[in-house]
Amino acid sequence: MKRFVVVAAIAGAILMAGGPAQAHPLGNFTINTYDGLRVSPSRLLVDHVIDMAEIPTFQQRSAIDTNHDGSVSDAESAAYATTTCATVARDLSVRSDGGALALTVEQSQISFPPGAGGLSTMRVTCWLEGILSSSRHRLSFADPTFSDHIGWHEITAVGDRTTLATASVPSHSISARLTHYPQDLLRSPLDIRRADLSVVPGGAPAPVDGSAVVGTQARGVDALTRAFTELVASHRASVPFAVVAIMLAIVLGAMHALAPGHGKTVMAAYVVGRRGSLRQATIIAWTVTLTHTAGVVLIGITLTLSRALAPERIYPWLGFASGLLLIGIGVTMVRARLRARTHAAHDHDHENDQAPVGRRGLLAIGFVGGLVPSPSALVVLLGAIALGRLWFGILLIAAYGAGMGATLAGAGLVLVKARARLERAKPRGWAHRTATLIPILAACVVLLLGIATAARGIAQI
Amino acid sequence: MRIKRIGIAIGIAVAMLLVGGIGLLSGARSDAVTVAAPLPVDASPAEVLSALQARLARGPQDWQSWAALGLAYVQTARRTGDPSFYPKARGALERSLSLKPGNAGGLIGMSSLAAARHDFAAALRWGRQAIGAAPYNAGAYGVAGDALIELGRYSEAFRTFQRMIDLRPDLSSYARASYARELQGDVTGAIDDMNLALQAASSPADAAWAGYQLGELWFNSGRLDRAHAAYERATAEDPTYVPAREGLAKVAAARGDYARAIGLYTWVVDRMPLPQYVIELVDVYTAAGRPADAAQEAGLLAVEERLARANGVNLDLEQATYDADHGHAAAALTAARAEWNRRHSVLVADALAWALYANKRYAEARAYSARALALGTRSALMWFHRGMIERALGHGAAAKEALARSLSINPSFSVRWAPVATKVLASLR
Repeated sequence: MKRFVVVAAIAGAILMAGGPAQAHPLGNFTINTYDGLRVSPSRLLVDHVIDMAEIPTFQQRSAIDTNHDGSVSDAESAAYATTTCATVARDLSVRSDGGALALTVEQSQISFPPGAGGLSTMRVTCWLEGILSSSRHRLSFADPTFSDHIGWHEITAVGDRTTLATASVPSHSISARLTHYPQDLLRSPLDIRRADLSVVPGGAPAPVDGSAVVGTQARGVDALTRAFTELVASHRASVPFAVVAIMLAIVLGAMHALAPGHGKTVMAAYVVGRRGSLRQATIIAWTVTLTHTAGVVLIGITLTLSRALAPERIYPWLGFASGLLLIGIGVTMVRARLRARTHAAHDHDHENDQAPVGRRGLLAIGFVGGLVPSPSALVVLLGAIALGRLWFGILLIAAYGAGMGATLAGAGLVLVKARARLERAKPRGWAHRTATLIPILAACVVLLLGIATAARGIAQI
Repeated sequence: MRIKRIGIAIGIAVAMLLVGGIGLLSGARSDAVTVAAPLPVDASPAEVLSALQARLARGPQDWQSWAALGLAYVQTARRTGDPSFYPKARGALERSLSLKPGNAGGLIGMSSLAAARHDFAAALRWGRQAIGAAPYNAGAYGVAGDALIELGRYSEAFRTFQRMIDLRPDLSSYARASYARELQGDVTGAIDDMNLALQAASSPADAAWAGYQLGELWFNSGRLDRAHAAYERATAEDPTYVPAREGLAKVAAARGDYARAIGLYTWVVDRMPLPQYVIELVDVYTAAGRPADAAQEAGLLAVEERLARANGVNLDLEQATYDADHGHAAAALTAARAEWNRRHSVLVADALAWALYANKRYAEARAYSARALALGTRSALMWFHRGMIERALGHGAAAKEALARSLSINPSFSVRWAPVATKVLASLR
């Protein structure tokens, strides 16, 4: 998450984590599989995930690149996913009370998360369905795919309005569907190949795993984001639920804005440095919200239309662009300060350094703050698109942005008040002297932030 | 590849010993801890792992089980090629050594881990410490001797192996004796010792491993029929054992049955794409007149090279040699020289000689080739390299002798190079 944060600063230091793409945690030539079984009274749903490390992914290339032009197009990878899932549906063996159960492919999805050495890994997700004739039965499931490959092989099972009286497999995935492999010293990679369940009717509906919908985009997101994502993924779509979801999105956005970044530092420096008013802080906050919402929607839709575009590739460019903008703003501020100083040398009327804050400057600040979309919001939108609930997703993101904007405006208000207090302090007191120094310091902070942000963007491009 | 076989042998043996030993020890104080029954000697490596994991989950202070688990992880990484076991191995061994500093099992495990990561100097240090901690532990001599072999310190290595055999004649000490004899050109003795090792094998996994080594010895002396039988036997013992299939593929390729060889190699590379196997498949595709497929596999090799660099791992010697053969002469020489600066084994000397040859530095190449053959090793490939270097230097008679010797040791030593040897030899007559 932090990897995407753009403007993050405390006392001029950039706080950013993240780094180059990691090698596959289980070694470069593993093929890992996961089967999440959901047994409802009338059907069995299998969430089958294949996670291939760099080398097998490369080995599959010639199978994916059917026209042998050396590159993998969206159509080719989609066709590969379809074929793979059809094969998986045939290879999995499901028996209900001894009778074979045929699985059909509901949906297939493929993505190529970046791996080590500039190579990609591959993740294929197949949603399979089998129709059950009874809600009280013994179900046995076997997954013989990639049986002689090294790798992690995991099966989980839950009852959905049924109860699993006995189950040979756990209900929860310890690898989070092949996204986080445990590094426990006392655990070898799992090698679970079959599951035996006895199903009885009745029971609570199984919760939907949010990550089941958004797939790999959910990699590396925090608990807050997962909570948000689950909103979209949730099955119920009643009006009261929608209201709750929107309110929660506002809260999440507000909390998200409290994390480092999001132009808060810049906004603070600007408002304090140029003696901005509450109205101006509000303008900045709402520009952030608008830019952010528009940015998320734009990138989300672009990503959906083209699988070739990876968010990891867009973010550095956006970071670079916002860095350049920041440098521009910083330079303007420093120049204004220097001019103000020359005037101040003639008369000590320090009201003179209150250069008017132009509307353009305010919009630019807000734009910088919202330019780099929050990955969490992006994940929610992609999830919504995957579910065919684009409009609900956009609504949630707007609510999320509103929460962000309100928090930023609140922060601006606090800053304006704080500055006013400093200036009301005794002339010649330390507080007063600090207050006169603030403008030039603030201008320098903005300039430095801009340089650092642009440099970081360039380094990642 | 030799390093692997020795490593596996010792690991399995030591793990077994430790597992068995722990069973006995903990039986004596079973009032304190609830302990599982000792593992049967023919337990599969996976069974050994899960039994140790379960034991440690109950009694996490058991330093002997931590050492055994660490060693078992090293073995698993080597057998399956799955490097995710290395950090686990380190963690388990460090745990053992912190619970009981200087314990021989932990030190042996650290030596084995260092060797698996090709840090042979460290492997030797750990091995020596293990000998100091337990002068009557055969396994300690085993890992120290392995490191000495890889560092090219042969007389010390052979003495250390002798000590090991005196202490305990079993699969891992016979296997080492076999390798020592093979290096010194005594192939018959090496085969006898490996047969003894095979008889001492207690589990199907051990038997498959020893059977494969026997196949290698037969193959390298040109006896395709015997090699085939040994590989078949290893496959029958353990159908999931990948190297045995590679042996069968190699025999098929040597017999000119490229279709069968490609089928087997594809199976192998699909499961364990070690550079050595991929290189052999490239050669077979080329010999079978399928350049597009060869190029595809060569691309895989480039991918593996990139990954090795990204992971900070040294390239295999095989890969350096492959580079020398495929127009990256300078890179091959850099890699071989760097390795020579670390260790002076005959295999490194041969790789360096061949890299120098590719860079047209024939006089230097000849000097290293002489070092490669100094132990009297009967290697067709090394003699082929020697012959080509002699020819480039204009030493017709010496070239003829070396190439004839190469082909007499094993007329089908390489799908790619054996035909070249034959052609060059004919041109010299």
